[in-house]
Amino acid sequence: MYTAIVAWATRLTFLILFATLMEMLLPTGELRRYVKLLLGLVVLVAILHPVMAFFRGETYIDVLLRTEFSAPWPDTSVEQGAALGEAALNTVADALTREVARTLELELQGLPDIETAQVSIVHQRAAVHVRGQPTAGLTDQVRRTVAAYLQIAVDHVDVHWIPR
Amino acid sequence: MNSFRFGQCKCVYLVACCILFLFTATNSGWAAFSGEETWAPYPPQAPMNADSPVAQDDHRFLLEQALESQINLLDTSALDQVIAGLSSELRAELPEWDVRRIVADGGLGDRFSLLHLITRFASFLVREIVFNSQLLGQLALLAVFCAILRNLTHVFPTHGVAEPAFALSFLALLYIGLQSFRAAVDVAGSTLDTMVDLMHAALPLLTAMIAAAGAVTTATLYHPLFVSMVALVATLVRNVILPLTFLSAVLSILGSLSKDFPMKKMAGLVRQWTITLLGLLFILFFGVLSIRGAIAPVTDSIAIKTAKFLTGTFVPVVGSRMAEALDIVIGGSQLIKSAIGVFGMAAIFVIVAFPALKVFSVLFIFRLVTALIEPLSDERLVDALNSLAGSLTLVLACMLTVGLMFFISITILVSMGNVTTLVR
Repeated sequence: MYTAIVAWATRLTFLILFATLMEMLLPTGELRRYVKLLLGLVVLVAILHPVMAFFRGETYIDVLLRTEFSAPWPDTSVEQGAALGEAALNTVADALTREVARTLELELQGLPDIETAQVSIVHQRAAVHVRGQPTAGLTDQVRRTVAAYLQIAVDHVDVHWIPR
Repeated sequence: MNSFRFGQCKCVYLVACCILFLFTATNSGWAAFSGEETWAPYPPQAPMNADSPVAQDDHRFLLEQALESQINLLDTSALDQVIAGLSSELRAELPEWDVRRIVADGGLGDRFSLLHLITRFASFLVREIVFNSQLLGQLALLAVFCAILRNLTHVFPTHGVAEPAFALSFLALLYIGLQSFRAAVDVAGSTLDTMVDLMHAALPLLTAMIAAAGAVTTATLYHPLFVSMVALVATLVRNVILPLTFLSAVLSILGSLSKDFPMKKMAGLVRQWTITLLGLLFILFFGVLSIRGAIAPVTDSIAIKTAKFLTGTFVPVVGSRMAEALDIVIGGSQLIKSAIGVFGMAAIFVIVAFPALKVFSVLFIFRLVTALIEPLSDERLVDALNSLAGSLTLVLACMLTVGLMFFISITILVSMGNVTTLVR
């Protein structure tokens, strides 16, 4: 389209310049009128050139539609965005889980005979690493505390003792 | 009469464009950052258990976590490249491009206050006008020369000598005029290219953040629409409308050159087509973009609600708080989206405003020269310069219209994900 317009304008420009020059150089006389009429006809044909080209079948619409759409396409921004949201959700979920575990650890450390406790939560299971004096009653208590706090079944809690 | 009404129509159009542009720029652009009400998602969804002791700190911490993970994963290399490719002059005017800082400050920095911008515009305009006063001198001198030649016609016994001499100096003058017109069209074209590059870099980021906020259906539906509309506008304006303005300028100059082949009506016709095309494009653009899908937000909200029930994989204590976590992630995504959007709006504004001032200064010089030489010069010359200025107004209108279209489309995108929140 661009080249078509420029070509048309250039052709017309030179033609009119030429006609103006001719008109200046022509001597005044009988012939002058006819030459001017002729030049006018030529200019008319030049103006109508795109229209005639259209009827000959060289459509400019074609040229317009052929112009490339330089969009980055197809792109994966939606998938990327969804992945981004998921990743953020996972991060937040991890943070939440860690926080719950930390609160639980503090609570466990409040129990007698326990020095440190480390809780890790994976899906529906919890693993507790306890440093302290291992007794059967204490193991049971830890297990029940954790299960109650996390609202999970007692047998989903694994208690590991780390000897002092 | 006809040309008067036509000119008036054009002026009104241009002024309306400017006012709308400035209004949107100052209102929804960075004013959004000073006012709180546009920050609906923050704090995210008013914590459900606000009375619990840890809630406040907790939410802030979680939000930071969500923001950090999203910003780290966000691939902004395309936008970085576009900004690095800008001329240093424009880059100096842009706010600093750093998502973290924009999100943290909630603003574009001191450099981007309205007062500062106005002073920058004023100084830039004065500088450009002074720079272009050389053009004014050349044009005025040639016009005076033309007038002298014209008067010398009566001295020579035959008219044949003076007429070509006049035509020659006329052509020289119009050559200078056309040259600066061409420079202005080039400025408009490259501005358009820069804006399109920026849009093609910013649109995927905005879409990604809409999808990250859970509005996947909306993003999938609208992204192709926006991208193809931007490409369509760019192609049409670059390949059809800008050449047509140049064509109208050339035609009106040629027409005034010779008395025997006047082309005024032809030039007027081309100009009218140009304006009509631009207006149609404007209507089409906003017609397409303002179609809000009725289904998409609902589908999105269902998807989000489903996600809320997908808490079975967690320990119940964590699972019960996952709904909050989801809200926090959505709020974080919207924060980042707004930051990108506001930066994009500011960038579009800067990218279009300074070149527009450049073109405006050339236009100002043309009008000034036309007014100055009218008393002493030939009528044809005044006509030619005047129509050149008219075509230049069209170029300016083109730039501003496209800038406005892109600006508002970013606004629409920024507000898009938030609709989902409302539905939810």
